[in-house]
Amino acid sequence: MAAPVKGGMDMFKRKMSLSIAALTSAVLLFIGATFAWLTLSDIVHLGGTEVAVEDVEATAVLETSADGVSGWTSTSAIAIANAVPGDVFYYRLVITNVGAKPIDTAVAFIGFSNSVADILGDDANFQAGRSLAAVLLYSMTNTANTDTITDQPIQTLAGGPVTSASQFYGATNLDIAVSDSETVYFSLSIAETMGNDYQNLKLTIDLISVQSIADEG
Amino acid sequence: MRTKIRILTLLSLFFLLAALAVVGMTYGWFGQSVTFTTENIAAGDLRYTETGAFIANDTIVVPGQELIATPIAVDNDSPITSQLRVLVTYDRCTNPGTVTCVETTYADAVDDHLAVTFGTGFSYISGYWYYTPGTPVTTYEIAAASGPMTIITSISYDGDLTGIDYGGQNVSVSVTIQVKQADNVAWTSLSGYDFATGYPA
Repeated sequence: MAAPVKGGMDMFKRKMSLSIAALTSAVLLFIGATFAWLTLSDIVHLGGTEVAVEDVEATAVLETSADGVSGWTSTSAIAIANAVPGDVFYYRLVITNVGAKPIDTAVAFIGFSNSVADILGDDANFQAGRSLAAVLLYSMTNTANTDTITDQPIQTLAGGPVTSASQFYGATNLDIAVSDSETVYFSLSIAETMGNDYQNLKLTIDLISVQSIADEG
Repeated sequence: MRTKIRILTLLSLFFLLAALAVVGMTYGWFGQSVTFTTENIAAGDLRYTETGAFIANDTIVVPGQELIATPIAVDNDSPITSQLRVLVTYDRCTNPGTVTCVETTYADAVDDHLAVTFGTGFSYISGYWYYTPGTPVTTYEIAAASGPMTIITSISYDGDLTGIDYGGQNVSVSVTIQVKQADNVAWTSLSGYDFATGYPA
């Protein structure tokens, strides 16, 4: 009669051990997912194998200038009102690698929506289905590589009529060393050929995303 | 005991890797994203309202008779700078043997048969009367929301130059106001005013 009791006790201990292990792992999982743990140069020892987990962190500052050459001032967002054909608006993103690893960075423009600029104005162009994205030209140079984009309609870069799901990359492959900075210069211009067909239209870009990953290259 | 440790080690390893995977997926595998939200780009537009009127069509007129019933004017409420010009055409009748009436652009020339009184600031340049106070240029920009502006207060056939040649002729006078928003845009007609007269059928 003693054998079954001992066997049951072993089973109980085994289940208890597995439960404790599962609970511990679950706690680790939540902590890891919630607080982005494993930051600066943590080293996890796994049976003699070392896995170094290092932090990737970058800052980005959006700046604007009247002429694209001097007088750069920080701005929180692009806000262009009452633009007319031929207008050019200059911006730059100063991206600094403040992490512990070299990074590969890209700049994405994500999510677009069209609307009337001023409800007091004529909405005929909006009702006709026209989008400012068709005549809003994007140009880009940067200090990290030789890539350039010159006067490309946003609609073309986004691969067609823009929607909330549209996006395009305004700069890619920006390799930034630790503690170093690179700058993406971009301009938005209103095509001189815009004519009167795009009056009183507004284009909203949901966000500009500066995305960085560790550069292992 | 060794089996238990092995199981615990494997389980710990499994869950740790799972946790790393979740963290990695959540943060783009140790990537980072800085975002700037809600970027707005808006184009301006032209907002002009026009007023004014000729006397009634088909009115029989004589040289020197006023053809403007209400002065032609605009009210600029545009949020952007703009440019404005006016085209005035009329039928000019001459008699080199037979009476011939030809549509002519009014340029305030010595042989123009029309007398037009513009508001201040208009200059004739290459077929059009540009609103260009000061030095005549075709690129003068009117300030945003500049308000009311008088275009034409009087139009009449000049009695000193028109004669019997006009007797019994149907003539017309047309005023076309054009505005545009910038140098890089083609002119577009804001409004047109027409007057035609003739003898009753």
